[in-house]
Amino acid sequence: MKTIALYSIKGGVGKTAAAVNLSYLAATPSTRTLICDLDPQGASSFYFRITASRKYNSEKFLKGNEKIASNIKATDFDKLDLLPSDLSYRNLDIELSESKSPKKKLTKNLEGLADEYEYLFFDCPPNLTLLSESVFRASDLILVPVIPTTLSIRTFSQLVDFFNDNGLDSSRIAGFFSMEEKRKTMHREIVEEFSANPAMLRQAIPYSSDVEKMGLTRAPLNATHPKSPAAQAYKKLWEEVRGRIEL
Amino acid sequence: MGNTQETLYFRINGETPLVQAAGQNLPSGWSLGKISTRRERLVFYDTFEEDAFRNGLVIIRKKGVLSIIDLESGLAEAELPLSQTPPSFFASHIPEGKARKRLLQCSSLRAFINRCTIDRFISSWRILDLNEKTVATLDYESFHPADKENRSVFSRYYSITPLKGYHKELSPMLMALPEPVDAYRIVSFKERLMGIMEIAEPYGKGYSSKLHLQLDANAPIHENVRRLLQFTISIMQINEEGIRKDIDSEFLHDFRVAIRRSRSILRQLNGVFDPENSAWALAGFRELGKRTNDLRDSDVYLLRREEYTRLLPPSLQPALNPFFSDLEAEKRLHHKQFSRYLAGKEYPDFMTSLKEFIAKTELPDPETAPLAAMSTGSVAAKAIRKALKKVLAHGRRAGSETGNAELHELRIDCKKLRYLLEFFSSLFPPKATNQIIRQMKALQDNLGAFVDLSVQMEFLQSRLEAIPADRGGIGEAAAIGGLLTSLYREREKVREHFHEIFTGFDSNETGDLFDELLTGLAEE
Repeated sequence: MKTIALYSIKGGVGKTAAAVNLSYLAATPSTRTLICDLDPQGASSFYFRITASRKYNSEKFLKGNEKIASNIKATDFDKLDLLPSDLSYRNLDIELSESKSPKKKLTKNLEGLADEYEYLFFDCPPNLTLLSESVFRASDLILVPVIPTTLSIRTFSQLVDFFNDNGLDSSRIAGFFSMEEKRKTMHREIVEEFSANPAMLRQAIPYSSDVEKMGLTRAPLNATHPKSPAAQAYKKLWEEVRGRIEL
Repeated sequence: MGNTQETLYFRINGETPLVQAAGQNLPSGWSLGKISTRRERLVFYDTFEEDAFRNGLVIIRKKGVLSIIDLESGLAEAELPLSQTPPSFFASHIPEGKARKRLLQCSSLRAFINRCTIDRFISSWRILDLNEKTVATLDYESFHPADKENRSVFSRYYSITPLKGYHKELSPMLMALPEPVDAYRIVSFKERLMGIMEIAEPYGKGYSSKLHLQLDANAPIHENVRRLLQFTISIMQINEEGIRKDIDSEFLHDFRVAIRRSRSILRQLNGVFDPENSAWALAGFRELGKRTNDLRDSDVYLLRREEYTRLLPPSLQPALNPFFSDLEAEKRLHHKQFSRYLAGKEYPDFMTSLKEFIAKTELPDPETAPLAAMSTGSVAAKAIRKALKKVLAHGRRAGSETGNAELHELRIDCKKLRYLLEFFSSLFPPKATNQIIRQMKALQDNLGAFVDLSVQMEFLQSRLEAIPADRGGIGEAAAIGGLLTSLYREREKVREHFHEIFTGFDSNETGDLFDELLTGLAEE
């Protein structure tokens, strides 16, 4: 099982849209895929029209394996399942800090899923907390959407520094430009400047109203409008990501 | 048609339902979304004796995949890509893996045959909840024989498969059925499958070479021997096609056992028919049996290929290749000859005469056929006692010497006794019969192994003497020498073991068991 975290300290950068579309693309008859919604706002659960059962909460999530497996739900798309989030996830950090070796908790809790899934995606909440660290340790790749602006670049660098300062392997971080608007000079210049940076993937996701409309269609863009430029960009991005984790 | 998730199948009670649309009874806000209407061709495989079914498995090829499905749960235990639809295949010929392992457990000897092909037409809908999220699929399926001329009518089923994580919301899903849910009966995967097989009439349906005649102890033996022959003749006929098509070696095996069983009973119970009117049948069976010998020999040695190869060190293994390719060529020849014989005039004529012969219900003249009118029970008791006496006498005589000829003869005596016991088994208390059969089996296995090994050694010896010197003959001779050594050692072990097994059989306990079996029969 390969684990990919969609992560950014900043909100509104296209994390959930990427998690939803990339997981949709990852799911094939030979590669069963699970998307694990860790954000208490539950955006990816919303996109797949899934709500957690009433009895499910952060406590169950922290119990791990069996409690997690019994709360996984199938999406409308073949071989793609989702573990919905719950509002109680807002307390995950506190609960995590009370548990034994919190930074390794996630890795341990998801062990049991390795037999069932080839890909696991985390859709992470926008912050840098104990949960984030646990996610970093459990992931083969930390995929970071970066809007081509100075501030976003700075946050990305902060993340790399955090990895280096905390003994984490920063080579597992891969950024990609998100919500790119070619008509903006700053966007063009920043993308150009980082074109050779090994920490950044080559494929960018263009700004697109189609992506925003996912809130209405409540389905992956690649399922509803596979020919749209943004869907095509996700497809190429997935190919690049796949190449990265399977090397 | 196997499941990946838990599916509930619904069969309408009584007659066809009124034409009502699926989904019309759904709770408000719920809806159905049509997915597809499609056709799947299902090819059902099993051995001629339904070994897979008897092991609780169903084997289906669908969309280029061969699935091995658990009959109880309907879940696929193993899958394997299979691009073609072969008429038959052996478990040992499919690639290593779980599927092969499971099939080998069912049968390593018998071929898995395409027994029937059925088209499944499915209409599928998504059942959507208030959020328009798919929570289950609703399928309506109907089956049709792939053979257009076949007009069999199969049951139709609705089925609901909840998506993962949605099993607890079953009650609104059930309202997607066109009729209220109490108009249906939930059927298991197994029941549904059995229903399909019942109508599909698969090749060799219900075949068993085992004899299960329910006999009336008071009925004249003449009637029951005729019934036995009806059974053996039917077994022969059922196996003809498999022999002709060379599907696997067991068709010929069962054919030969039926011949031997018929001959053995006719000879042991002479006096049931007028010898003048039945001698031709005995001679005919004998002749027919002889005609199958060469083909059976080739089959048997070809089946031993793996075993022989394993007995040899790797350096000698390739030297057996010419031996086996000659056997293959011989087998082709013998198969052709025997198939021609089956299709010719003599064999069908013989079978027709046999059927006419056993169709005659009137009892023959007591002068020439003194046993005919006697009760089955008394004849059984006498014949079994006589056969047992022979086994014991020959066995004891073989005791000191255990020479090849004695053991060979004893094996035949045992077979005769076994055929009688099987023929008359319905007259005996089942528990005692099973015990006797178990004891006999141990003895027969020992003797069978001994004779088999002896015959193999003779065969290999004759091959050794005929090996052409100019065709890498030295290697082959060495390989055959190696085999002879191993087989010899094995045979002597079996010979040593014989005493122990025979003493077990020749005991008071066995005597008591036979008394239990036969007491009461003779007086009736």
